[in-house]
Amino acid sequence: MQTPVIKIENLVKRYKDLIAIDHFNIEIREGEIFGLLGPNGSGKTTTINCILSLLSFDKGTIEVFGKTMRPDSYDLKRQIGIVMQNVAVFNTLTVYENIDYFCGLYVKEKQLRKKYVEEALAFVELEPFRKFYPKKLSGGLLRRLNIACGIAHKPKLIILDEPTVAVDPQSRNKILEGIVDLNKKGATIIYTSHYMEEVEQICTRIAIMDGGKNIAAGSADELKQMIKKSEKIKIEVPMLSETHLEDIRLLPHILHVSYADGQLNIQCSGGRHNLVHILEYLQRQGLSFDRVYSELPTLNDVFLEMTGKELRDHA
Amino acid sequence: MFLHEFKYELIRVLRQKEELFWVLLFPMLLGTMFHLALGNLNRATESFHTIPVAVCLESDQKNEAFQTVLDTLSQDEDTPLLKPTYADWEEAASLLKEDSVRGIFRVGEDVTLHCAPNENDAAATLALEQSILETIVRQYHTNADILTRIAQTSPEKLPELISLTQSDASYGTALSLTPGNMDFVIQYYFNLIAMACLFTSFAGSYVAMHHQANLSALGARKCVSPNSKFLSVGAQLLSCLLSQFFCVAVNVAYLVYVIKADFGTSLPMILLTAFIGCILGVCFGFFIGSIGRVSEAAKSGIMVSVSLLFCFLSGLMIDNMRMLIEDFCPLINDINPAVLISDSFLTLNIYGVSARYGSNLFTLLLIAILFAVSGCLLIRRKTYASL
Amino acid sequence: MQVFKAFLRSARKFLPVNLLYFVIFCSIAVAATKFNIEDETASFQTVSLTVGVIDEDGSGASKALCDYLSTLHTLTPLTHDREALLDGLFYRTLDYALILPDGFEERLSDQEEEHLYETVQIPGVFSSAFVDEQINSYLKALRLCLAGGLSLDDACSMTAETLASASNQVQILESETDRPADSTLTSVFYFYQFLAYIIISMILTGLTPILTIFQEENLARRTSCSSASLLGRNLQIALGSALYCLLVWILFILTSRVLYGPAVFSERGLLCIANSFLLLPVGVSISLIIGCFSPSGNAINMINNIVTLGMSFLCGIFIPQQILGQQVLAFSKYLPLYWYVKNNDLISGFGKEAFTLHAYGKHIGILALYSFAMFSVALAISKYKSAGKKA
Repeated sequence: MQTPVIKIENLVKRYKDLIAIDHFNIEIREGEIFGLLGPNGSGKTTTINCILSLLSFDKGTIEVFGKTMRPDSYDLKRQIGIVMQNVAVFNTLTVYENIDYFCGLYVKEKQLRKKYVEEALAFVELEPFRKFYPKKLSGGLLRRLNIACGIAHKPKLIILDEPTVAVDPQSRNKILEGIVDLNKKGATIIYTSHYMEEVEQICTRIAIMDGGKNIAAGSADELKQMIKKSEKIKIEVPMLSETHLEDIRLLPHILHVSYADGQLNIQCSGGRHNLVHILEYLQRQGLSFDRVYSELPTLNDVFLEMTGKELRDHA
Repeated sequence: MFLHEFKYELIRVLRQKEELFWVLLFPMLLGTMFHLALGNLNRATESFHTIPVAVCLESDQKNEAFQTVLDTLSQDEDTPLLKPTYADWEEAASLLKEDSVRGIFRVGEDVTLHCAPNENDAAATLALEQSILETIVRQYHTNADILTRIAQTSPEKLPELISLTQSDASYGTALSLTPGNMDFVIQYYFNLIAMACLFTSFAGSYVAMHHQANLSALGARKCVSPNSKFLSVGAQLLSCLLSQFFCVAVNVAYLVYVIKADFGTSLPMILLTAFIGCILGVCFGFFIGSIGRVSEAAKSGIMVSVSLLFCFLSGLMIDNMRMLIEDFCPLINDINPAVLISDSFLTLNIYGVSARYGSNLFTLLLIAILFAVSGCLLIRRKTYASL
Repeated sequence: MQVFKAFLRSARKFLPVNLLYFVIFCSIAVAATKFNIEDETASFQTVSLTVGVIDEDGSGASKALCDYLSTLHTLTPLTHDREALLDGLFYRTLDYALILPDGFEERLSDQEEEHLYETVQIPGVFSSAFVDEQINSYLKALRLCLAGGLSLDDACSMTAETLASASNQVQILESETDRPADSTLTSVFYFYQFLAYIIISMILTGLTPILTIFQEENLARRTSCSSASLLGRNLQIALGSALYCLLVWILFILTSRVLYGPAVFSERGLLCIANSFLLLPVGVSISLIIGCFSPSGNAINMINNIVTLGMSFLCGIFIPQQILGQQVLAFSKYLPLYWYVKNNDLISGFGKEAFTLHAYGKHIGILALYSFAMFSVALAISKYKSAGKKA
């Protein structure tokens, strides 16, 4: 079997009394886009920093490309591209110079570096802004610069730590497309975020983190199959009596039924053709209905069921 | 890699125009103010000048002996010691009152000196002028006294003695031990350059803070790059040193060519000393910058106040502070960087290149290395307990 | 009171730095005043200097000369150490250096008239002419005695005797306002003179960073969008600044009380304290003006230094006003600290002017006017800047 790109076993990190990472395990294989999904404060960035050996940890092992990572593992670091959560660029250098500076930390040869920098500029579509100073860039463009600085040297492993925070939807889509593109060109990617849509959209495998623990891992579909809930069905029915509700509850794969303000809410648990069964029932009873919605379960539902809380605080 | 870091650090420093502007401007402005404030200082208090004096002749009979003394002292070629104004008593008194003479010689058979009180030290010049007048009168009296005494025992020698009193012999020889500038005002400029050198510490502190993951995002980014930290620190320190030295050199040039401060030594030597001073400043800043989790504001506060303290002890504000410390705790002077820098200038000025100059520079470099090494130990590649 | 609270919170962040400043400035103030006190002078005194002597001859005659000089000056015996001598001369801890070369007595007995002694002087310095004059008059008297046929020993004693009997030839013509100064009070005056530099430095270094925070573009915009009135906001900032300054001021006054005892609260001490209170609005208004340009962290330090050190030099805090040139004073009249120092000189009697309550009040008034004017300037600049941003 191929060596995993990153292998973390039993990682524990404490800040005094607070346990930031609690016996955390993952294995990331080559060619994956691996998503670390979790709410704020769940330990995603701490994990990343431990991988990079920026942070010391209390227990466990971390292997990168099959070797232990140390502060002076230059050969390993050379193969990693990192896009940090906080924008880390020099305000006194232009867009081009920033990318060239960071790329220069990895690539010594000038011609090659020039080519790489141009490619990175093209990749994040910042060519028109090459002479701009970071202060003049909008939030989204700044994030893209931050990404370009991390990936210009064409690393084999790219770690992106919440690269889309505070980015407008258009820029966000560009960034996501870009990440998939990088992956297609052969890079393994670790992607942390608390936006489940993003993770669901691009990641081939996902680990859900909460309180420093790895709660579940697998592809989005695998994760969704782990939970009882399947789709959620909403039907606008003007008139419905308590006996009808009881009847619906008796239909197969129905988890929960409620009725309020002329709207019927049904939570299903797996099974197929649930909507058809319900609609058939309504027609049989001669009940008229208006609009019908059906929602598939989201990662939020997965998270909700596994932890009992919402993934994102909606405040 | 070294060149890469060096180049970008240089670009970075040169782009920080506001900072650069003040680094350049601040010693220049202060130098100009020193020049304004101190320009006349030496001349007014210290330098040799003619003392205006009123002479009030009391009686018709001339006191020839004293007249000879007066004439001798007021007829010197360049700057005579005395400038006598002959006047009657009322006139003389009013001249004294309006401060246009420093004393009145009342010359009759006897000679007396009349002065205004000189009670406080601000009037040190006045006191000195009065003291000189007093010495003249005292000498006159002493000589007269001796003549009288000798006339009693051996009167035959009197004519010889009288001619002796009128001779204008100078018994001493003034040695000049140094071609340097003994004007002590220059030490303010020495200290100013020392201060400019110490203030290069700000630039040095950035280098440290850009290399520590727990101090800045850039530091963290830097830590994950596959390069030796010391190489990168070295390159950045060097480029920061050169840019800072450039600023200090411009300031030195300003003091030498525009303010025309006489450093008493050649420009290359001044620049060499300033360069060593900058090394110390940058390393000092690098050390302060690499101290753990102290906020940037606190660090710059430490650098400003410590630099100012060094300069104060070296005499930037009170000129003889350094010598006072020499009396009561010389060790401080031996390790105070501001003293070492300004003393290097002083040594160059008075003794030229000497062992003491060498030992000053050596101590400066030693302290700089100490700072640099401690700084490196603090920021060496490590994992952090928290970020 | 949200702004006020935010102000205090920001101030708390700067507390350790400010404490450091306080300790360092305090030690500077103490060192400055402790060393700066000179002997009290009577109404007239001949100047006594420090003379370094290298006696290579070591003979009776050379000792006699040294003895004579020691009645007039403070003598510092030196070994033939060129460096100590030159250093002393350069830093003016020695005013004069006398070398009595080997064979001094012999040459004296031979009645030679030249090269009897050697001096190292600071070229063109007045005080050396004074000592020259004294040594020459001694040697001349000795020469007379020798020519009169006395032995060297007799000549020496006669010279010393006659010179001593001729002492103090000065008659004082008039006596002006001479205040009987007591030496603790003098220290207090020096302390308060130096305090001007210290307090302005403390206010600038402590306050400017905080004020700059409030002036920062985004924050200023944000607060100006809030429902709080601009006046209210500024008043609260002013309140915070006032609190900070008062604290600094009180701390320093307590320090002076600890250092110098009850003399601090004597009538003249209180006048000094009242005078120093005016430093606070001056400092705050300067700080406000600097803050208006929202300089970066380092630039703040540089600007502060230029302002405090420059003004202190020009206004006579480090160098007495009496010594500064007329042109300098003509210029520094336009700086507030000039009037502070003038007032301090007035109270202490350092200056030439006699103390009158009228003059004192006038200077206080000028200081107040300066603060008011500078506050207005700061306000005008910040108005202008905010207007410029809207356009």
